[in-house]
Amino acid sequence: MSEVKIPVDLILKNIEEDRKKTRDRLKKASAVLTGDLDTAISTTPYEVVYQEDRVKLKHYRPEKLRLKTPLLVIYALINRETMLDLQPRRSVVETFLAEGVEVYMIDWGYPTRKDQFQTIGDHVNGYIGNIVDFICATKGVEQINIMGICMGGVFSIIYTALHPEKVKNLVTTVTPTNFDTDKGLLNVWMKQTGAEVLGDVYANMPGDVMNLGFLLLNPARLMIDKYVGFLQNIDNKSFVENFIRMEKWIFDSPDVPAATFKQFIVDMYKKNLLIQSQLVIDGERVDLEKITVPVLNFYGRFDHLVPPEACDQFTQKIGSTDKEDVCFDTGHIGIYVSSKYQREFAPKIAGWLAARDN
Amino acid sequence: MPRSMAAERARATDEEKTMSDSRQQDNDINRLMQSWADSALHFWKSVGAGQGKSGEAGGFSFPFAADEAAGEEKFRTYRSWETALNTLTSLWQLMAAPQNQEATLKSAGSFSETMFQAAAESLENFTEFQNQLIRSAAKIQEHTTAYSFEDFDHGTFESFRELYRSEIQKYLFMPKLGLPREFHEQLSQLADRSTLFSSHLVELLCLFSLPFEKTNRMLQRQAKVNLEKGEFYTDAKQAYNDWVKVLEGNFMELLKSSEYTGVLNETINALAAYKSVKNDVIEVFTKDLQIPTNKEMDEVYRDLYQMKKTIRDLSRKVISLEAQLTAAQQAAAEQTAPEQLPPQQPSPQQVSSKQLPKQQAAALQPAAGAKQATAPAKATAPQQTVTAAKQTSARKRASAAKQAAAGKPGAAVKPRPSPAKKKTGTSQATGKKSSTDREVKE
Repeated sequence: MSEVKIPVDLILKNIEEDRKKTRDRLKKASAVLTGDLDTAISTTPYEVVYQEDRVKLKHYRPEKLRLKTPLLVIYALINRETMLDLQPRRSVVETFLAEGVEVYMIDWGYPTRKDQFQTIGDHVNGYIGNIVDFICATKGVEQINIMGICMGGVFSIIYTALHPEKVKNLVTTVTPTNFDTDKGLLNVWMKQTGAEVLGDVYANMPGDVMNLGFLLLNPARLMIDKYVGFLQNIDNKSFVENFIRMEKWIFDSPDVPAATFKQFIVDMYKKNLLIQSQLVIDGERVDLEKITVPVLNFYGRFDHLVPPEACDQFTQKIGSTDKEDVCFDTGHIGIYVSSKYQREFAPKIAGWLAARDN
Repeated sequence: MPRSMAAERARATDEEKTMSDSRQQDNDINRLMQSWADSALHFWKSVGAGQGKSGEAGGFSFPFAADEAAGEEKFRTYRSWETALNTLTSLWQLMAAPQNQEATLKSAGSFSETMFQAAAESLENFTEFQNQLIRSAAKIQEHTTAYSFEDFDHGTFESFRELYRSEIQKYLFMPKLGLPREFHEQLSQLADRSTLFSSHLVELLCLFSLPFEKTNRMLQRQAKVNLEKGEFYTDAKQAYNDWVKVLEGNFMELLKSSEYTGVLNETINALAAYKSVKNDVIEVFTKDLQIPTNKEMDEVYRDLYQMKKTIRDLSRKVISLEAQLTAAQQAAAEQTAPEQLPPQQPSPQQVSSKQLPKQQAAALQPAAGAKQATAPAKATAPQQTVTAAKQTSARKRASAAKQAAAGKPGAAVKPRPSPAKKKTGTSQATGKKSSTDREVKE
């Protein structure tokens, strides 16, 4: 049996090369980090046209209007709507405007202790209801298009089911409707723990606590590998700028009003009432059969927060005949920020809305 | 039969002997007790005799303190000592009295017995805890199977909590007395919940260390196999990529295991319990500083929330009724005096401020911080052309909406350029701690 030989010389050579590369990288990194970095997010110009309590309505005007029906984007209460406009040339809002869509977007603001009693009903029938009425009145239309994102998608569905006469077309993106699945860790945790008690003791559910929970969904990637990747590209100005933009967005987490948080955990995650049309909001049952408007439903195949199983039943339960499911090979955020889906996601929505803008 | 009688007799003799021994032992202890009580009594008497006044043998006193001319205030400390020491001497006398010796002895015996018992129990529990700790440590060593967390042993942490509950918690929960009783109870509870929460948190963190341990072990095994084949990583990046991939897999297994969710749930519950008591303790201090407590503020917030909701509902109703009234008045005017021009109707804003009750009018004012509505004229104009017959429920809502846009519950704001247009680079609209945002919110 011949004796095996380890290429020690090659290993040592690589180590020496790595050492030199690291030294050079750190020299450049110093210049990059202390230099002028453009890390601003949400740079597309907008106007705040309506405000109620902490909630604001942003209005983005396209240079050339092609759709007569405006689009209201309803973001989740978790993290902020700035994700749709992270940076120039990688912005869903920018693409909509280029496609001639007039965009209104809700900025939920930062709930404080006084907002702790606000329920899902207060958000849907209160804020969203008032905002839709405002847009209808301002634009002189009877109906508007609605696009919901994640939890905001749930709000959009509830609103459309309760006020179908106000909605022309509904677009749901990474929106969980079926919570009875064990594919997503969030579903498992929410069902098997009593996380809703945190809403009581903190008054509102702290955004940082929720963020910690999201990081724990994949600690190896989100808490280690991500920063290793940053160190490996620390001398790349463009990479650093994009990285900081994403950091800004991801850790900008408003608290969630306690009543809404508890209602969402109990009625959605634990009882799975929405998909069964058993959810009751402000005394009224949310019957998905009442959604008869055209519906476009997006979700990500590799979404670890809202797995495909949580999204793909929705269109089967509604009363609409004009409905479409679109599954992208990406994750929860990739749909909105990845270069590849920038070319597919927003243009697809704009085209779909245009075809139904009569 | 005779054999059994003999055995009976022998047993009776043994019992008598045992009783006799016991009596003898009791007598010995009694004598010891008597002698100790007498000595103590003599000691205090002799001290008293040395210090005391003549003619009051056995009484303890300071002669200079007996000076009546000195008054009540002077020597009052010495007089207190006299009283206390004399009471003690009397107590010794009482205990040394033959008729009380038995009771004294029993009390002393039961006290020491209790102390011994408590100490023995504590020692036993502590030993058991140590045994469990050793067993658990051995078990942890046993199972570090790759991609498996089913047999994670949280016995170590449970043993600690068991020991804490049986040996320490009871002291924290001893009844508290006196004026600060309630506060002391809260402090004890805080210490208790804090300990329990810490133990659960440490357990959770310990769980998080397991994937690292498993990953390192797996890669070491793999490296050993590769080395035997003459293969090894020549590129550090490749080694890291493999490591992080295996680590991710191990974490995934851990995070969806029932062991993890169980520990997570216990930690959440312990955190909630701890936070709840902590809030109570903080309230004691805020109350003392005359700062409104969270509970008090929550009551105010609840009232505010309810009032806003009520006002919102009422203002919607008012707007809807106004629209109906306007339409009805117009229809009536057209019928009764077709030749005359209908009188101009006031806008909802005018109606609300002139005719409505104060509260409802307030509801129609722009939201705090928002500028006066500047929605297009189309939105602000009341619906004068809608007839009552045409008002379906959907139409009513649309009409109310148009007026709501001009009025409330929220408010249209004067369009202002987005902060992104500014030169500063950082968008105020997105800055979490932006003073502008805060001001608007406030």
